[in-house]
Amino acid sequence: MSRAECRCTRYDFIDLGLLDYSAFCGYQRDILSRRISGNIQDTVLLAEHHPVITSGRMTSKTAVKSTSKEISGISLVPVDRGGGMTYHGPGQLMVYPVISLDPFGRDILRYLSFLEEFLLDFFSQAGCEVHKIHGKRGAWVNKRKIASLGIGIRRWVAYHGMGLNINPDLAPFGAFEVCNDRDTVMTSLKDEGISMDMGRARSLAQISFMRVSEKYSV
Amino acid sequence: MDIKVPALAEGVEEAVITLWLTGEGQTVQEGDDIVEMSTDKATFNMPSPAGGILSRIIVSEGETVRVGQVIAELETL
Repeated sequence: MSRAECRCTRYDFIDLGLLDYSAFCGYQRDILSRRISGNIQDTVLLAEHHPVITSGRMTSKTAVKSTSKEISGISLVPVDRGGGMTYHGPGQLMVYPVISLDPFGRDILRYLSFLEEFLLDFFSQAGCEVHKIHGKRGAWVNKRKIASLGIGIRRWVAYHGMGLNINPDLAPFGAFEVCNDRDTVMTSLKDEGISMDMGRARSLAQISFMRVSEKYSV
Repeated sequence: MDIKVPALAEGVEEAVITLWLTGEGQTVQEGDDIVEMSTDKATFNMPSPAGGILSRIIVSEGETVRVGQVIAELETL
């Protein structure tokens, strides 16, 4: 695991590099515990994962057989976040804010809207105009989904977060019902004709996150 | 003491009980997570409002509950 830290005034950004999802979960648990106890400030984890499919708490029963431990040769991991089933792999930038919801008035919808504003800002800065779709969370290019989100909350500290498709292999998304919507078609910056390396994506994510948090006055 | 579904966000009236983290008869401290609830994109661990024994679970996992609904009873110490 490579690990690089950027200490800003409001947030610590920690780049975990490319790592297994299970290793990430252990790391996130530790950060969450330390944030809840007040030992660290709000922290944003950046990562890519080796191929894995995760199923959130609200995964529909039709998404996949409940006994499955893998789909098309990719491990399936149940996770303690909202949302349904999705795929993570290299080329997808994961952004996991482990932050207090107190500045958001402990309002979950306000926090989710903040995350979506971040997605819009990020992709706009990348040169790709994305939008929200009423009733569906995430970021979209026309009817194609380019980023997903799902969070958990403990003691009013949020964890888990967002997956931004920069240039991942999109084929695994076709093996299951993405985010409980069988009609969802995934896309990426690469598929939209925009080339961006992951280092640039990481930098841009930090800049966008800071900018949108200032806009939200959090 | 009645354990009620808290306000999760303005405009969010319902959630699903996805996991009981404390069983009937178990002792909890104030602030201990007792139940996990989920909305569309978020899970939320609800802390116990007081210390005591979780004497009765009223709502099972998988059921939808509304804000303010009583989901369990806590026998305070």
